[in-house]
Amino acid sequence: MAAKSVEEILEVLLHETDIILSGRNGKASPSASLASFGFDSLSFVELLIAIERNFNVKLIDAGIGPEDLKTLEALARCIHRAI
Amino acid sequence: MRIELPFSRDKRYLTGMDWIIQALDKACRVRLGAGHSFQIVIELEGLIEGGSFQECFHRYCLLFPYLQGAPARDFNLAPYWKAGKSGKSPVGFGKIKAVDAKDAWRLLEKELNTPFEPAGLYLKVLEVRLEKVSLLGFVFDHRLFDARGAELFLKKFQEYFLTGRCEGDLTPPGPAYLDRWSEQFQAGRKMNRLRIAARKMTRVRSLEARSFKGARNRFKVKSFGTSETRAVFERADKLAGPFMFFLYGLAVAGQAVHALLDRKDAGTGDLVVSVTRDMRPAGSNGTALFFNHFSFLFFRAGEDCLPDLEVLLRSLKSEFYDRVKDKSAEALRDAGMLMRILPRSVLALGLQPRAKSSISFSFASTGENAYQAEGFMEEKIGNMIHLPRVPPSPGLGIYFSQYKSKLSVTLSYLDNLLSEEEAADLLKAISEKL
Repeated sequence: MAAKSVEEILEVLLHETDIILSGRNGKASPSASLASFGFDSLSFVELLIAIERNFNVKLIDAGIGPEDLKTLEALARCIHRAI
Repeated sequence: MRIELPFSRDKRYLTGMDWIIQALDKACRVRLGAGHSFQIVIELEGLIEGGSFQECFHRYCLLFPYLQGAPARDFNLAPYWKAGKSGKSPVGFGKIKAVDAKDAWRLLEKELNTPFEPAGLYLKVLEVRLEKVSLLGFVFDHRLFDARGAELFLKKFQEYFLTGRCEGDLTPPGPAYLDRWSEQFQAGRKMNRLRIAARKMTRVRSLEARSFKGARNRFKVKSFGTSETRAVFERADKLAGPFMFFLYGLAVAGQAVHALLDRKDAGTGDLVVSVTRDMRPAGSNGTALFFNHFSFLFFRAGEDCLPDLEVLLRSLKSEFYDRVKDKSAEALRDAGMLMRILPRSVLALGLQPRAKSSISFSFASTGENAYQAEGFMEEKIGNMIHLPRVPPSPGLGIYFSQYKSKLSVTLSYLDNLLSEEEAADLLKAISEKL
């Protein structure tokens, strides 16, 4: 897989978040907290599965800290480090 | 072949899960005397004015013809809920005289072991007035409401009380689900394979009963204050990771049940837990008030993982990831559609309580309550607590709910499986470990 920039990863994350949450709490934004979108355990794991599908990285095993989950931007940086 | 029937406001086709709940309700009535119901208790920090509440709630309930309906079968054999206007009151009211809070909870518990009277009633409200506070127990028939639906129903009532209006399409018509046969059969095959594989892999450890005669559903509740709740969630975030509170609760409950089974010398084996998952879309504010919108995920907590919380959490997280990935909750929901062909009494036979269940305990974490208002009518709410009857197999359920910043754990159990002391010890163990 060709290396992806943080911006490219972020774009995919925004797209997947909108699909998973069906845009119900408005359009996902890079700097808003994940909790504010209305993620719960199930939808969050769906996002992790989408990350595995898109970037071939299983974050549930790789380990993600609370800091990585503050915003989608932070999560994109975490994925960038892991791939 | 796709069969599309015109939608009717008077009939709402039942899903597979609705039909299973119908059968479970029947099995409960036959073996335990009362149907499959649950109660939401609102603790009010004041005394509600009973007359005006009853009058307003009665008017609100009249907006929903489902509350006067009954199950029926269509010419195409699909079961449906026939909305009605029987002229009878859609809600029953009762007043309970209690000497103190402990007595009040005992009497509210008794109501969950009492069948709805008269037959055809699916909702009753119990008022308990104590010295300065009051309790309102709303008993919901599970055939018409699931836990989230009941919370939404109460939320809409508060809006109705404040505005005199009830907005949104709250009883939307639904399809008969007589299409997508191949998906339903594929889902059925998938569930059957998973069941066979699980049975081969696992020796299940669960409580054993000699008899179910006279068994009653009992409850024990532990509520945490605001700072205690914050501390629990911080520990859950640290040990299980963000958004994973339910896995943390499941792991803690699993360890406590494991220790209980050790004390009861209940042989060896793994724990198998049925976990209820709300299938309403994430982030949805939801207008799906009526009927059942959940499915199940099954977790196996291996005997070797159970003693160590971190190991157990890793194993449960991995299992959760795999279950979400293979869409097993969706498969179970779709496979359930095939069950609708069975008569309710036949399906009920399969849901009868067994001496030894193939499930160790039932678990749910409903998350933040859909009811977010600070008050009910004009009184401030102290807390809101769920008391769900547990399915007779396994006869032991551990349920987490949250109102505002207060977490509650409800232990629901059949008293032929567990003594009062054992139940108290189990709840204490869970509360202390959290």
